[in-house]
Amino acid sequence: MKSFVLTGIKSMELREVPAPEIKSSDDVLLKIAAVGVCGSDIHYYNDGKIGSQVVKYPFAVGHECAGIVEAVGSGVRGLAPGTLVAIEPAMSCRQCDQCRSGRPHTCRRLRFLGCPGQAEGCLSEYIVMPQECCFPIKLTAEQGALSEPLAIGLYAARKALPLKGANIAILGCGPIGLSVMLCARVMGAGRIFVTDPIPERLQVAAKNGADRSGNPETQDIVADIAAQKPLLLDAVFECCGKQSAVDQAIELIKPGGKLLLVGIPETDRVSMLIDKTRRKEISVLNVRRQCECLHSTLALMSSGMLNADFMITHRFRFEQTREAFELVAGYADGVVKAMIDFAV
Amino acid sequence: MDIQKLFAERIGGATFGLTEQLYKFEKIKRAKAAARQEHPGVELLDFGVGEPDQMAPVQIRRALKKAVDDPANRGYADNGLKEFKVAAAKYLQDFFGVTGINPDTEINHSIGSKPALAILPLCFVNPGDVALVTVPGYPVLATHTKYLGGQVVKVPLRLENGYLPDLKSIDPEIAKRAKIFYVNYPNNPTGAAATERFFDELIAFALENNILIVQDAAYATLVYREKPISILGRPGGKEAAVELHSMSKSYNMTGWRLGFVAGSEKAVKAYAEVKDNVDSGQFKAIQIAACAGIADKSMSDKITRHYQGRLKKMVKCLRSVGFKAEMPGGTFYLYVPAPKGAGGVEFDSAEAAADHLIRKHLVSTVPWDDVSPSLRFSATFESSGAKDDERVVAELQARLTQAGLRF
Repeated sequence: MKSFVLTGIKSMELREVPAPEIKSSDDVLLKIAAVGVCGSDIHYYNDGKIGSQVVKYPFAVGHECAGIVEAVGSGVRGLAPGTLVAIEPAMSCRQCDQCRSGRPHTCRRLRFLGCPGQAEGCLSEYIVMPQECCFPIKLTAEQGALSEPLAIGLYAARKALPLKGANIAILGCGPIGLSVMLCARVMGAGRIFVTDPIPERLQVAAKNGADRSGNPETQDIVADIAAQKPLLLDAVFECCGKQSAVDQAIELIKPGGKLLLVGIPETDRVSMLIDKTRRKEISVLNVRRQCECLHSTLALMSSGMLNADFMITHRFRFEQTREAFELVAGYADGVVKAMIDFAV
Repeated sequence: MDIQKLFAERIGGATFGLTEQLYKFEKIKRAKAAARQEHPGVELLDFGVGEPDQMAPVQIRRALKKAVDDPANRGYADNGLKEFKVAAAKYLQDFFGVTGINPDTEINHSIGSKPALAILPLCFVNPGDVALVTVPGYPVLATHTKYLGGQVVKVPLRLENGYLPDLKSIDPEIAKRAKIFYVNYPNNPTGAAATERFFDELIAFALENNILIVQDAAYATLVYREKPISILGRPGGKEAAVELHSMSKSYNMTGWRLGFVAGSEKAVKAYAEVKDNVDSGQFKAIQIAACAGIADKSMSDKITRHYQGRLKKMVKCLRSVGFKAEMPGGTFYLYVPAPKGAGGVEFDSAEAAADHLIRKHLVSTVPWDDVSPSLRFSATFESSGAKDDERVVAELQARLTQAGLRF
């Protein structure tokens, strides 16, 4: 089969590789239908690593995907060939202390699709996943792929509860920031402020649910939001992984409020102005991907309460994957979500 | 084994049971016991009771006896009998003019209103979520909201606003955050009855702020000036509210434990979902017996007349000794500003006044100090019949006169 693999820093090739096979009775062989390009894929593309996770080339990344069931293992029930499924990219062991305490996303033996040293990604024609990672959908394949970042948004929003009437800010409105925004809106958030240095992204956010947007490179967003909400905000979602955004968040959060660190930092360390963080008794919460939110996300999408189709700004064929990565890596052409459609 | 270290924080954690805090009704109970001991042989006039003085109507009791012997009724009732749901829908139509209630999806029974008020927060309250509750009032929904880590915001009921909440006084930021708004009309303890205009304003407020109204209608049929009304009969009511009806007061069935939740289909569905994980339904025979009651308005009318007659006598009596008493719009309660003193004694609270009346004059009332010091006299006092009612009220008048109350 064909697979797009990283071969070096900012280098990727379409190669012929052996197709994966069903090895376990609960395995499902999937023909990939759509893959969303995620910011973390770009980290691996640009830097060859995220923190301690270092790529050994060649390696296929990609984890936001939907696929069609091609064949199933002997123990798989209720998943007929031809079924379109959204894919949970986290394969947890279901045995360790984390899994047993309801935290499969921090499983001690986690294997995550497209994560170096864990599992090859989905930028291939076929992948094999355990049945529990396959969620049949009556959505499009693109929507199935979008459900992964949306689930992260839902998880982050759930960690910020209570949200009804809560005034919040989302610093960074790429796909993850927008996912948080949409989910916070579903959960009844009051005023939603968004910031991003890319004007097109601010426009997309404003059009799809943000109450006010600001560009941190051209305006004092802290002063602007504080003028709107003098008592400051209940929660701030840092969704860009930048030190400056963390600093702004500390200023913007009201005493007793929450800071949710969702973005992947560009650096190994992030600092906080401890005097303010401590005096305001800000709760700092790290958001690690998502935990068992995919099912709820798909239900919200199916009901129409969560519609993120607008996020797909660019579409590519599988063969054009490198172009998609270059576009996203360069934040070019107002890209929000680049989607790779295998069927096209 | 050290159970003391196991208690949940919601009931005090490791300090549970270690504090000597006495709650109002326990204090009343102790004061009654002390008064009886100090004045043996003197009748205690108990105007503090919050439950009917009479038995359920004979027709309901007969229906129960028959239903008990029917083997079909022996098992779990789960989320209720279809017959009771249908009867409840008809009751809403016949008694309150509410049309279009789907008994299958918009009604579910409860084992009395109290557990329903405990279950509803489980359906809606996440830690930190806001519930608006009127005070003074029945505290169960607020208690469970707090158990769940929710925030209870009290909305005072004041005489100058007819004991209806002043919706304009609610902070808009709080309103936006609120998920449920507990109201109770006809109201315990104030006796106020809701008006259609008030319900309309409340529904508009709820729709504007996306808040579910939980209208506790436990005293729904006990109204004296206007015809009984339901919030579900008002435009938007079914969308914005659930209403809790009870057999306890309207049909003298307090100990039987039966009521129902009606209204917003989604809210009723959530209630049924949680309820199904809390209890297995009320005994079917009780549900069948209640059907006999709620089908017959004459039974509840008779009960309403019973309290109306007593309340009129009590109003006259209390006025004669200086209370600012008015015939209530509903319930069996007479809620009056508490006296400031009696003889040479000053009262710093309604609780002090109530304590004095029990200990010195063997007159039991329920004090409320939440908003303004007030006493609740209940028309559920014990007597041997209508003629004896006169005697009890005359005795109340004599004792209160002797007390030398100052206002």
